[in-house]
Amino acid sequence: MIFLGPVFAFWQLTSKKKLAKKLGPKHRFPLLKLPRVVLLECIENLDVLEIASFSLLSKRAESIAKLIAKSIPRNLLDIRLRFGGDPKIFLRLPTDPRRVYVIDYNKGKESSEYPYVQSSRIGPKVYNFLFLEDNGNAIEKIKQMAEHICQLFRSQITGITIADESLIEWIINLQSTIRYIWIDDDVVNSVETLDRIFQNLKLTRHFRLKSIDKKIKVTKPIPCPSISIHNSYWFTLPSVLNGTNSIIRLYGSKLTPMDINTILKEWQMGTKLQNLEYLEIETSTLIDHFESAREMLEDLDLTVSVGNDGIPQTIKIDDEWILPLPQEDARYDLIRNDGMIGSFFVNLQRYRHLKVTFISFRFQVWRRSRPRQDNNNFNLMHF
Amino acid sequence: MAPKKNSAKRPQPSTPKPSAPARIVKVQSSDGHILQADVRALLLSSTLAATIKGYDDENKPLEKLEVNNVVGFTLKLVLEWCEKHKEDDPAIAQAEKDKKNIFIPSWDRHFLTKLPMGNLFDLITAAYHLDITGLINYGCKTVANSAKGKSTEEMRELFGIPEPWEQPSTSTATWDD
Repeated sequence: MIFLGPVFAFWQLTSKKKLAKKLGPKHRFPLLKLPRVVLLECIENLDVLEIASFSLLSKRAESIAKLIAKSIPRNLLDIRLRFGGDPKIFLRLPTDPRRVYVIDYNKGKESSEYPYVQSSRIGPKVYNFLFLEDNGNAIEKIKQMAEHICQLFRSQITGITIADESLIEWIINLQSTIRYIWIDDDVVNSVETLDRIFQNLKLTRHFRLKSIDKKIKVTKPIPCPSISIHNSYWFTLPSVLNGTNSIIRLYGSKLTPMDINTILKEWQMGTKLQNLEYLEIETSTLIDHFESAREMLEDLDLTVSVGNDGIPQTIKIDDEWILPLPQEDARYDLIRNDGMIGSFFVNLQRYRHLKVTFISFRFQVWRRSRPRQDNNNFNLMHF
Repeated sequence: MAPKKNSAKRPQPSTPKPSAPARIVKVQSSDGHILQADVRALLLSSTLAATIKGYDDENKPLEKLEVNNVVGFTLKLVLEWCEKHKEDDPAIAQAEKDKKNIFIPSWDRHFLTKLPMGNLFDLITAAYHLDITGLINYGCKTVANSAKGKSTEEMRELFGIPEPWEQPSTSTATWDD
């Protein structure tokens, strides 16, 4: 890889005020002249962001930083990129999950104020920011920086928010597996683009897609355990049924009450949707809410459950995102042969003036835990 | 009235442990300065400890230790640090190093941060030559702390590393090797 020092020379150009105040020799610490053992010990005490910054100083600094970075196991550093808004790189180690290092490119201040650092505590997490000026080429800079950090820490990018179609090509060329992809509005404009992603990148945790700006229709499933799709009119029944997803969240869907009925039947038969843990569909139909309910529930072997009988109250959408589920007074249950329960809640709202019924459907798969064996009954008998 | 049991003789919790009488030796720096130090302080240096042990094993009188790679000003700093830590268990410094969990006590923080960076460099280098684990630990941590919150360019300034375009372009020649 080409040494990135010259690429990041703009950091120097944006910190004129600071450079005007050059340090005298007495105030400089000629770090690289230290004996190697001691030099390594100094660098060991730096955090990941400081090691990354240090590595950009010179070729030797980079090789020293690589040696230290080797103490972090391969693929341990969590690297996430966000390209929408102010582009950012988020770095985090699982050994210190409450500390997040952020490289943030923005334009909020005078040029002379960049670069600068700032720490903020947000909830239980401490964010250590390095703010760099966005000179209009922040996307290129962040790509280069991300590649550098990946190489330095021998890690892959864990997740990326894509705000521009060119980034799809970039990430595909960079690595073959990724845990998270979030795609912003109107980035994807063809089935081919989606195909290109899924054929070239193995998505291992969560795929989230906002609006697609063209009319498309997809019948293939999305090969990712957890999917969240906004404006999902294009995501058809076969895509749902033929997938191996465990979490499916479809908003702005065009699935019909009959489709939902099919999904429920297929799930209960156990031949499809075997991995399903949670399905959420928000859709609309022109038929009224009575007819919608009838179509959805037709020929289903249902029981009605009331109250909390052990059904989980949260669902894990991805490694960190746990979604609390609203608790309803009553729900429908389907029981599969293997003992799994599929509980669903439906909310139907008819807007007569629009002649539209909005359907909010949530389906949760769970297993009843064995009742606790204790002596309470015995005690009650003798009370 | 029952007599108090040895209460007058019992040491108070804050009283330091009685220590052996100081054994003072002369230490000569590379530029000829002669300083004096307690042997217990010098034993923090593995290098000097080996020399002292050699004298003791042969029952030779130890009149003067020569430290050929440390100048007088830096040696004075080293001895000041060692004198402060002469009661320390060297195993603790080694354990801190192994665990990479170094906390700089307030005296050491003050001692090290008041030094100009150039002197700190000489002190750490001397600690390396004399193999003083505790001083290396605290010195390195102090250097790392000085880089905290600094951008690449500020680090470049602090560590005196030239701009990339000022660095030699050949692979064999670097500014620092």
